[in-house]
Amino acid sequence: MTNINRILIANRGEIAVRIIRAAKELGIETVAVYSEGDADSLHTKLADIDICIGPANASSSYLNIPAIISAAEISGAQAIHPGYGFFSENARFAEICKKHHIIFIGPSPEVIDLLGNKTMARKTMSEAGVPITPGTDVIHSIKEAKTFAQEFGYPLIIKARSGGGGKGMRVIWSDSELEKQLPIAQSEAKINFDDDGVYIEKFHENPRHIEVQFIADSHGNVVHLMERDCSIQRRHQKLIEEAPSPALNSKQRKQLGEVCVKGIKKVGYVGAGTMEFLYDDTLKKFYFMEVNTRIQVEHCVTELVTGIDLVKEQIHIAEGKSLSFKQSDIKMKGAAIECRINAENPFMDFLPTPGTLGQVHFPGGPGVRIDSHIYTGYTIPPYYDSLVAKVLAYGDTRDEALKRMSRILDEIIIEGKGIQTTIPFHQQVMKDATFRSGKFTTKFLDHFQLKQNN
Amino acid sequence: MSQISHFKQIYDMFANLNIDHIDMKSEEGNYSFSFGNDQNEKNKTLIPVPNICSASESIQLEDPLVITEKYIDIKSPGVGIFERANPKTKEYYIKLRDTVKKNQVVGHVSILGILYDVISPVSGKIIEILIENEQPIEYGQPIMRLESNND
Repeated sequence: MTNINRILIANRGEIAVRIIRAAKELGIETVAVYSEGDADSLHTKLADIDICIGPANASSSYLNIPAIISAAEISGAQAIHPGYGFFSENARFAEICKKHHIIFIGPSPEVIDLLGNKTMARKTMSEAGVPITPGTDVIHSIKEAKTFAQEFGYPLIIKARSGGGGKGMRVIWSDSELEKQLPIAQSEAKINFDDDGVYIEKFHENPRHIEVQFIADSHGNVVHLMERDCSIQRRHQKLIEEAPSPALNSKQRKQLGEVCVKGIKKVGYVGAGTMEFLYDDTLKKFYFMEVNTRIQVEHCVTELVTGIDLVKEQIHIAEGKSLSFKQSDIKMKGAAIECRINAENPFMDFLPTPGTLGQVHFPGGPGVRIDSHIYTGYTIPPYYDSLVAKVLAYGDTRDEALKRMSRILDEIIIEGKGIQTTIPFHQQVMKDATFRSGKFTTKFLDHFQLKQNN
Repeated sequence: MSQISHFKQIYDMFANLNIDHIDMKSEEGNYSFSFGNDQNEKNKTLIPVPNICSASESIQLEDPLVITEKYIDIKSPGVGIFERANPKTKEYYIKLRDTVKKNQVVGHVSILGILYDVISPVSGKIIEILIENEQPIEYGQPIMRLESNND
């Protein structure tokens, strides 16, 4: 066991502020690192020590390994919390921390590596009994493809073995289409990736995105903190998250959590993480997607419904302590929802709008939590992501949480010359009948029409 | 030194009069004095600064634009420990009042044990050393202040 007295936060924005707050409440000193573009950011003002590590562009500052390690050394920080993004899922960075005798607050480099490799993660989880999307190995003949189609039905998706980022994928709806598209997909894969290997997976047409929060200590204890529903997404970016998922009953919730714990125990995970699933509401089935080996943006949703402070718990685990709770202690109470407020214009294709803030007002009252790094007079820099505040509402029921969220969104003020935010978007979603019914999928925004005059 | 104090007297005499510029010739060479805030004259300003290296006195000059042009900070290229000494000779690269050339190495920043050069951006005279040897520094932190030769 190591007592951590000083933590360096290798991040910026609201998550840096979030981690500083947790550390302060634990009586731990904090070191903020910042780029020249972030000299006025709140995390530099709240930390005990602040160190400029480089120019505004992230690759020279927040992604500059020697600068961050050197800052930890000159400030005497024993541990580094990576937050999310930047180095949070970088095995090499975790390895370098280890070499410099600095505690990386996260899983081991080996575990980050294993779970970061999509095919390896899929294989490992499947072996542990976690349900995965049915799929084939590399397809050699049309006959093989058709056999798979007969067993699992259409639609299917053809993916290139060496592809990535959505490239070279084709959705197939019938036998005849399969016959036509398979050779084309193979030759395209050959041209694009110099590898004609393609495989087929069952395609989830209309899934929900449901993820399980888990946390594991170095003594072999793994506990899940149940699910979050993050189906409201735009181009795979989550905009609204909530817990519990309106789609699950308590039996499914329990099963999903148990499956997650089984998979995580198998890989020897230490720290907080999230297992992401696609959920087919018609078949009532879950399919493993990936494990995020970091604290997530939406972790606060879980904190509200379970009463667990995940960031404090991460620090305890890094010190070698056992989890402060057992699985049987975890109860989900009430409902929580989070809206990500970005400095983007929702009426202009979510175009980022950096600039200087004139007025900022964050509402209070019961059941409100706002995690943010902005304040009146702060300049939102153009170099980083546009998240300016995470607004959360908690209620006894989902209905109360949604009404509370509408109330918060009406009260909140984030104004400045040229600055637009996604608040009008969230206001309209909160009043949308489909959203309120809880019966929606990741395709929700395909059908949602934002009204101009709000 | 006595000559410099003469110049200081001359400078003080003319500073309060409505005169923009004086060129002087003496046996030792040519001297140029500028006064006031005349925009056109700013770039030419060449005051042989009263009393060479005291930064506090230098800062008392009235025109901030002259200060920014004339006094330049040598900044840290990274986060680490400032090393004033040449690792081979163990001698300090720079002492106060030394003159340096543009791109001259004036010290190092040790970042995880690797020495990165600290380089003077212009030629001039070191009038202040702001960081002690082997002290931690952050990116962009001023290490030394120099008086530019204006070349």
